Amino acid sequence: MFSVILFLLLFLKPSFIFSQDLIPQYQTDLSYQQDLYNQSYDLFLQKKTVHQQYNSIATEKELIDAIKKTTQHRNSLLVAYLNLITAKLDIYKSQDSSPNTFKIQNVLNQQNIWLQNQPTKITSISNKSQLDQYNQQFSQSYKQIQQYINNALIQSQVNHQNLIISQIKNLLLKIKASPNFDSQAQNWIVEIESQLNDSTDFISQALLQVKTDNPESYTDYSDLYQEAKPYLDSSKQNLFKVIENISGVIKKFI
Amino acid sequence: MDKYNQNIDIPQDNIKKTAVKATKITPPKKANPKIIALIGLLGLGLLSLIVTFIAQSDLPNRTNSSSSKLNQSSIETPVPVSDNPWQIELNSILTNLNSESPIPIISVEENLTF
Repeated sequence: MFSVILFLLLFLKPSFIFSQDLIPQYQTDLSYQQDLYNQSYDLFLQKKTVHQQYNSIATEKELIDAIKKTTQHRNSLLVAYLNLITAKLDIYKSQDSSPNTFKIQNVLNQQNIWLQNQPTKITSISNKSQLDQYNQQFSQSYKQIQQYINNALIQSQVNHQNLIISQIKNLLLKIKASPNFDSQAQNWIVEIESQLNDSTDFISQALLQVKTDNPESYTDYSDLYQEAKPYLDSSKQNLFKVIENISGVIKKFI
Repeated sequence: MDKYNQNIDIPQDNIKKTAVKATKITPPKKANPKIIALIGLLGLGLLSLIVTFIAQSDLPNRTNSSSSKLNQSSIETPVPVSDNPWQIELNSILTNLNSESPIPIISVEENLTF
């Protein structure tokens, strides 16, 4: 009986705990893949310089081999990156009442599968024309990958900060119910609640940069996160101030 | 020689007392090797626990240093200690806020060509 319960518990284990356990592993893998990519990219640059200098059949072959190797490492790096992002999104997924997080994870998973299917195609490349053809295919997919990576970077921080806001609101409710809670404390709490709303407004501004529509409607996605980041940082700094003010209320009135 | 054959009248109480005193003298006890081994094992266990604890407490530093290449950063704010349950809850929220580790940003070359 006990073993049956244990077996069931293993399968009922919440997914966020499962994802959290995997994050250190994904981070290590990402660092490892980043090193491999950097090494092969340096080699590619060397071979490119040599080929531009000598322009022979031998240097061309060496350059194609270096490009193929770098392409494989680039795809493995992106797979490791998408694994980490998807796992990170899982942790505070419950804080997102919109379908954004689910959609972002879904698209990232699809792109992850696409990237994992590329090695055989890259191996079969044998000349410049095939290489250019592959690069075109990759560019189309990479556009969507970039778009959803930026979406994930924003959404992940938004979900985390929404969790903090929700925890603060719960605490404020408990403080308000205290018998020591007088009119002066009431005024302080009203101000704190107003300050907390500032974070909600900053988050709403950041969320405007989450683009889950058709990738063709934008030309560059790499700046979307950078545009959202100041709002996310302002919201976080504001939350620190809110916490500091609540601490003051607790010390003075409670 | 007669003087050695004389009956010496020794009081019986004195004899008993001497005998009792003699039984009190016992050789020093040797330490039980099993107990020594047990204490040794416990000591080793405690030492390994301390080493594990130190290693675990050092782990976040090592993780941060390795991930610094990937532009990770987090704001560390000291958490005040208090017995007030609300202050404890607030400290927990502050720890959660500090624990946020943003996803690192990576960039790759899109167009690998000649």
